[in-house]
Amino acid sequence: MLLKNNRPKNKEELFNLRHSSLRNVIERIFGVLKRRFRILCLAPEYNMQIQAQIPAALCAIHNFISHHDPDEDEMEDFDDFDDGGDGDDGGNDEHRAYNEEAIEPSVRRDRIAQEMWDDYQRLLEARQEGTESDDDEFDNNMYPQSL
Amino acid sequence: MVGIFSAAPFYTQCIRLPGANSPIPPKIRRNPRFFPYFRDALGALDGSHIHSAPPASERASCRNRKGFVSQNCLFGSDFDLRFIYALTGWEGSVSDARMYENADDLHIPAGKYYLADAGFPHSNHLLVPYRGVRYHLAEWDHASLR
Repeated sequence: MLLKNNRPKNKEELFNLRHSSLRNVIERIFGVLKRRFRILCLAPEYNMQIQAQIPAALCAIHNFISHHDPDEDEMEDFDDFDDGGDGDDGGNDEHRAYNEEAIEPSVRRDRIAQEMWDDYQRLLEARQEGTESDDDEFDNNMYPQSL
Repeated sequence: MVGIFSAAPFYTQCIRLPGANSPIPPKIRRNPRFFPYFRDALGALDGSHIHSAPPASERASCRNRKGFVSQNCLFGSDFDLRFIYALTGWEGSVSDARMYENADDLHIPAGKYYLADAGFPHSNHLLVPYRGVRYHLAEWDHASLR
């Protein structure tokens, strides 16, 4: 069971949490690749040039299989989000762009983290007031700039 | 044989980098935890060690931090479990950051970035986590389920 103090307490923690949950697609794809092609777990004694070609070739074959037989990936292709979010597709493209001007990487990260944190606080408050079922209001609150 | 799959035309048809005008990935767009914050993310990048059997003279430089002999590879994936980039054949002792610096064919359009871990440099084209922050957190506790 998760405890209350497991919740992110600041924007950095929230950012890292979501960043890592999105970034883990790369861990998952490595898992799929290494399970599918056991040769990657061995050390084949070909010359080094061929050894270097093997992972690249298998990546291409992996994509080929995914493209032609998407069900093959099914065992891995689950969504593991349990945030209770409504999964609603915002469906509009009018959110401000983060990159209208070139910005420092750390400024960009802080901006993303702050925005995320502000929305998260708003959502937590809404939940405490027992309004979590009101999705319309939730969406409007989340993205005021788009109105 | 392996060369057929790791070179054009097969390879270049199967593995493509997303361009500046690629649509926002559905995985981001459909999840309010990610959208709109990560709308400019094209995918994720990471290094992965693959076991290798180099000639004895090269074995030392191929031993990685985990103690086994490997080639280090830099991979990029999109959010739908497809590879979009692969750089292979680096000695196991080479860091992810150094592979990234040498990934000359990894074109990242202006305004876009990849998600990477803290072993990569924070730059215009990479978004990495804050350092020194607690982890193993969860956004919601499930008190009602206890």
